[in-house]
Amino acid sequence: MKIQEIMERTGIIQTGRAIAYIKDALDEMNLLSEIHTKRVRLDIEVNKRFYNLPNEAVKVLDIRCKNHNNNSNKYQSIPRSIYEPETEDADGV
Amino acid sequence: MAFKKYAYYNKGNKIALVEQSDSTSSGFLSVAHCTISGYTTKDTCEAAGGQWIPSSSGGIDTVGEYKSPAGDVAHGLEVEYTYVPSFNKLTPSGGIIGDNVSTGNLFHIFGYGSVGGYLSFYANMEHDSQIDFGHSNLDLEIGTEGTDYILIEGSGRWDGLHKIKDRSAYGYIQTNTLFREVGVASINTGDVVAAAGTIDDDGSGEIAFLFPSTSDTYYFALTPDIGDNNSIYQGTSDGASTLTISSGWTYYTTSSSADRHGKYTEETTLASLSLSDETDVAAMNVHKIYKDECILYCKDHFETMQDESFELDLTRYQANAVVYYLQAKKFEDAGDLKGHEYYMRKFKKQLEKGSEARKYGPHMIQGHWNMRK
Repeated sequence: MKIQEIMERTGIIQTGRAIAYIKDALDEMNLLSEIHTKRVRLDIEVNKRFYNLPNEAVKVLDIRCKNHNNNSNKYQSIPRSIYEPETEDADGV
Repeated sequence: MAFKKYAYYNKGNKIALVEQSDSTSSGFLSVAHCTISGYTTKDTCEAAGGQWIPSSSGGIDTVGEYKSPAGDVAHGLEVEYTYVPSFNKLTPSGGIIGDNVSTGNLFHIFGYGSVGGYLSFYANMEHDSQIDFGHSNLDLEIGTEGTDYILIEGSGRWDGLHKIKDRSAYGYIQTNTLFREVGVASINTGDVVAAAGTIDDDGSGEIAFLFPSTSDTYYFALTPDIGDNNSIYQGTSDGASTLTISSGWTYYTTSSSADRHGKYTEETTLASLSLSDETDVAAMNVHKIYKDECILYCKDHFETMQDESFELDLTRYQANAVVYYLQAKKFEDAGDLKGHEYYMRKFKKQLEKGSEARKYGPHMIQGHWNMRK
């Protein structure tokens, strides 16, 4: 569906306002449901604890690591730690 | 057999990744022991026909301890997420890969940095040949500063659209995306010593400020046109006033398209970098770069959500949910909260129905809960 059709059906005549609301709607949809999904792979670096989430990520669906609980190069979901480890990060970030 | 065990937790807008210290398949460090009970030393164990199992490395007090990852793993962390499709990919006409000689619609980016607090992407060709993003040959492809967008893919962190702020002639393109970090050291009198592969700031301390660690490896580039030293370099800092170049990174061996590597390649000898001696260069900038090879698509590769003609990447049913959402917003703006709640309910119901309609059959649980994580 084009933006024009949505504008006609809602009676909004300002394009900028309609686009802003549509972006909000898409945000909300991707928070509530999994409409558009993507996955990226980042390099794990020794002693580097903190990794940036992708800038465009709305909702994280899964986090997997290579060779987690296996040694056949498979990516497996990793658990979320409820508490932070007592050991401080070596890179001090 | 020992397996790696990771876990994560959220820290602000970052993922904190931790790894369990050395463990066996049972999840615990092995304590030295004999396969036959009653023997506590290796000699007596083996004399009795048993097998002595040595302890794993590490102390018993660190069994199962989680700490920062113990080793490098290329592409080891996979993040799956949802995103907002605010653009549609297109097939461009004309040249595909661009440089400042021939027009093109995409560029191979080496990494990113911060220029004036804004995210900037760096690309390089051969030695002493930074891509001139401001070149008039690229006006049609890249577009106008402050108006057009670039699309980044393959970065991990910066995937998506970024509005162009500045098309630099010195190998980088600055965007309007905020990246609050000091990324450029402006040196009043800078020197380059080709034989030693060093860059120094004559003791003024700018290098120490931007490159403080003596143990880290840094990537950097010099601007504006500093003799023959216009490439992307890798090196170390003395934590004071000197950067020492160990290698350089180029995408081309020559500007001929036949010689493109297809990816950035490291030149590991100083001689191959063809540095030139420069003394007391006024206003020399050293840009700190974070290596993150990705693709920069120019405006012909995609259309953004800018006018009414944009086609949303949604099914008709999902698009109807968007209509309900807009109606709800209209009522909210008018102060009619009852109308707002009514349409938000319709929006959520529409989403739910659309999602449920694609599921069939009973839910199956695969194994017990511990098998997945």
